[in-house]
Amino acid sequence: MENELIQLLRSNRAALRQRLDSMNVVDIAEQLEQLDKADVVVVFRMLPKTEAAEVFAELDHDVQQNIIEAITDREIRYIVDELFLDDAVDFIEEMPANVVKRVLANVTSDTRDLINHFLQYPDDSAGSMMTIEFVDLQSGTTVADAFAHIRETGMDKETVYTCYVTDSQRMLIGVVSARTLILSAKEQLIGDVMETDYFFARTHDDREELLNRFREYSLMALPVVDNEGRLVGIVTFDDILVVQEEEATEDFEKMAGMSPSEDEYLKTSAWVMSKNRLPWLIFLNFSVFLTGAIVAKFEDIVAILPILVTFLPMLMDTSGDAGSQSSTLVIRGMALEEIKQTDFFPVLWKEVRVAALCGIVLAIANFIRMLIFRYEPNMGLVVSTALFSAIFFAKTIGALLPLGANALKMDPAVMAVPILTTIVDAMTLIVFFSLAKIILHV
Amino acid sequence: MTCELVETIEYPEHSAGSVMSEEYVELYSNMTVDDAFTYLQQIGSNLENIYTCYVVNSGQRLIGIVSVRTLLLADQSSLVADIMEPNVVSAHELDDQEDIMSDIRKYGFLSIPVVDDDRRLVGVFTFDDAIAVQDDEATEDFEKMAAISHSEMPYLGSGVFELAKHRIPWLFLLMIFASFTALLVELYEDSLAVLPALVAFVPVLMNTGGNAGTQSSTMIIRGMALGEIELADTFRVLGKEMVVSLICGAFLVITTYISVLFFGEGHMLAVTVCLAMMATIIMSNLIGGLLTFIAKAVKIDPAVMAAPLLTNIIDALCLVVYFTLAQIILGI
Repeated sequence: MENELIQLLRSNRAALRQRLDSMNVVDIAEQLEQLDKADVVVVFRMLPKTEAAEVFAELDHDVQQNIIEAITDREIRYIVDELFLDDAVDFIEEMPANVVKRVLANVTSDTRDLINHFLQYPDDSAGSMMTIEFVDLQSGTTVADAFAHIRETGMDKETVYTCYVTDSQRMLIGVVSARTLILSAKEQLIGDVMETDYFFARTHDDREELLNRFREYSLMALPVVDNEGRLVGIVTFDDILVVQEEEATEDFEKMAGMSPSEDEYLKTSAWVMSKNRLPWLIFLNFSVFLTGAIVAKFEDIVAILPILVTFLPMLMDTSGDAGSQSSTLVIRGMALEEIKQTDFFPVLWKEVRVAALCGIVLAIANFIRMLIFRYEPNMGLVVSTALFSAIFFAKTIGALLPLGANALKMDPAVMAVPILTTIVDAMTLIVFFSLAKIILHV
Repeated sequence: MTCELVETIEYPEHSAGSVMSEEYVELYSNMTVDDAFTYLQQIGSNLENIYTCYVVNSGQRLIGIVSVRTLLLADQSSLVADIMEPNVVSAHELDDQEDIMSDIRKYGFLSIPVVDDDRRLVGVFTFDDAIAVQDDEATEDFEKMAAISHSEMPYLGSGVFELAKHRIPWLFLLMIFASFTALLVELYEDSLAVLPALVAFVPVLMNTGGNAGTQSSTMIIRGMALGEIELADTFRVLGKEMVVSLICGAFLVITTYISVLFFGEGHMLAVTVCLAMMATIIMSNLIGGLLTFIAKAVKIDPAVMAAPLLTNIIDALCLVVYFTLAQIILGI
């Protein structure tokens, strides 16, 4: 992609300033990230003051650090004060200690206290995601007063479309949407038009719970209250979209036997990537040697009838595929809350029947295939029976593992393909070789 | 605003047109802020999305947007034309829903207008649509990566036959595919007859190869789905996977060597298995990466190149390497 900023920076700075004025902050950030270190700071300083903080919030952490290290204390103070608190906290969390120190030394003591307070919320909790720039109203004021209040403060708020009504103790007592305000008569009291039946989250709620509430009720924003019921912040849908994406990615990674990564693929070093993958690889490598040990027990049979080995890849692959179908659907269903804990037996029963059906169809297909390829019917019988049991066990266990993990309050995604394959392979091989022994008399 | 008969157009599945809402607020540029509020009060109770208003000209063409926030903060007598944002991020009605969803995620907009070829406003895509689309897209990728045909039905609402129907064709195809590996292994039957101990390490190599390949392809497929990895990154990604393979391989070779000796097998067999292990991991990670890029280049969804198909290919390759190494090193 062509980078407009670079071209304009080299040719025409006045035009660059004009272009920056009309561009969306997200696009500016995206293009800034492609510039080299010195240019980033040059262009960043050309931004209109009001936009600088917004662009800053959108930048990657390494670019943020680069800018912070290059600008003056006064500029730092301005930017951090302008940032929404959730963006400020995100940014500070990712900076090295010396940068954090310098930033905190340059903000007002109120901001510093707030940031320190927010940093203490556990990772992935509502408290760590929320921001404090919301519109709060008092129940005794009129709609006209509310509009006046919004006009005065709305510029600095994350959203003005949902306003929160608090009492003198800062307890949340109601919410009122901008739509309601627009549709109400000017002299009506907020207490009369507000909604008293509303959704809220607590500071320690997990972000996945929040995500599910947004999913279910199409919320734009959700108020967050502390243990005493005092309103301390709001979480908005745009943060939730990011959470939703991250949660899905985490599940993909866990299901592929990896520790979840923090950063984008291209920004993660090969070393960190290996660290995320190795523990599982080694664990599974050891466990699969148990499968090897089982096969070793049947060495005599292999020596007599080495052709048996040729069927191992097909049996192992098909059972692995069958198992991953079941576990993937169950894991995803649970992540989207379509499958709940109480559904344990219905789901298991369903998978057992699907397993039997798939197993029979494929076993028959395989038997026919082997006859066409002129294998002995007895051999076909051994392989097809083993195939049926492989598919049946793979699917049943594939559903059982995540369901069980969920019942034990573990993350179901961890119980996906890799672990499953190892267990099912061992079972498949025992069945296969035992059948061969009995039916083929080796 | 006139109430027109809405043409019922059949939009393709997954297009912006198929998911957009036709309820939105239209304003004209010559309205004042006061007019706009009066209008909002008239229609606001029937409309779901009133917070972003769309400014159209007499030909229904989209010329700008103005948010209720901007209206609230503006002077009552200002003209909509003067306060609207003329640089609008919009989508075409035939755009993929995934693209609009990622625009919403990227910009944090409450909604994105959908226009036709002539830039006439035909609908809006809202943030709650984005949340639903993002779930659907991830689910579809999960399904493809596990070799299941996509189903719109929720899991618990689907019958056993319905579920099986989405799985059997893929299982069957993959099974036939895997059967060809048998032809390759048959070439080495004599070696197996001489040294049946070789067979004990077949599952070890196959599983580890499958696991490594799943890891790399999952990361890359997900990266592509999120727009973090583009075709232009092919060599960077493969280079990275190569380094990761070497690091992971080095560790696994050590554990493998110990395990094989622990089995009571000889040093030479252990070396054979270790070399095959290293080769398997490198092949798995590189092929896992390569397949996804090839899919993207020929415009197939990279997700179908995931674990199931990949495992088949890797299995065949790793067994050939293993048995060939055994023939050379162990002289059988």
